[in-house]
Amino acid sequence: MKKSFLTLAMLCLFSVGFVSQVNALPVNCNAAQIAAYDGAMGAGLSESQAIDIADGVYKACAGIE
Amino acid sequence: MKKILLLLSFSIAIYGYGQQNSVEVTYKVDLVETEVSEVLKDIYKIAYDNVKFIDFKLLGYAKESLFYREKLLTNDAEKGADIALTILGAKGKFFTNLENGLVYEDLPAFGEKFIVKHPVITNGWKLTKDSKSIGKYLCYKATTTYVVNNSKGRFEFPVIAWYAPEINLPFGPKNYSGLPGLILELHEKDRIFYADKISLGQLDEKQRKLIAPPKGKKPITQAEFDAIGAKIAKERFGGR
Repeated sequence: MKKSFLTLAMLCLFSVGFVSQVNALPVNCNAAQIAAYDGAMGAGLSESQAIDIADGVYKACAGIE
Repeated sequence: MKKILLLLSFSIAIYGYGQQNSVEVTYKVDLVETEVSEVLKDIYKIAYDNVKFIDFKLLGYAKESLFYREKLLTNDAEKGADIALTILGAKGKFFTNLENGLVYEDLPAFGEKFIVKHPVITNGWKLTKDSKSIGKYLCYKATTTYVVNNSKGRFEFPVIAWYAPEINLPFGPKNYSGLPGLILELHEKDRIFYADKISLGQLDEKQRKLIAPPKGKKPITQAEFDAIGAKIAKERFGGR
């Protein structure tokens, strides 16, 4: 009984850790994208330049070509 | 004898006019490293590393010119150059028409194509007596201001142009034109465009045909284009 409980607990912990890692990527990359947009705008780039740069940062973060 | 001399003078004048009526310039560009926020450092590094692979062409004929970047040889090089072109504000092609006093920027943005019109600067230049030699040409300094309006505010950056009166063609990189000579070097914000190769009077028919206004969309002003960008940014990133 104890062994089954331990196994179940380990499985639950592993699942939570796995899901949070998978979900962290888009949240971090979204935050980086917005930060890049803000940074580009603050540097005096135009809206279209800032959006392009933000998209570039997102793609680099997410590993998208 | 007199007739021969007259004919010779006339031929030289015609030849000289032909030399001054058209120009092909290859410009290279330097991107000066400046302080940027941490989140932008990697993307700016890509730009710094790839800007040296970009060549721009200016074709000028009579009262019109076209400024555009030349395609690179490999897809990988294109990818690296793309972000550099974004930072340089030079993703598009710039067609200048001195007769109507407008520059048309044929610009890909937000997944579609736009034609943004800018006025030819002319009266906005401040001419100075400062001079320097660039290659074999004596150049004079002119200044103006590059203005960006975005939702963070209004930004003004100094622009310095070195133009050669000896080349009596009032063209230059991007939308900078209207000076009493060809611009051989242009400093705009953190970018320096410089003429690497100049050919006078050598445009062939194919090149002349390239110098044409962009088609396909109604031209809009910079303010209208910026408003579109601001709306898209608000939808994607929220009001900032």
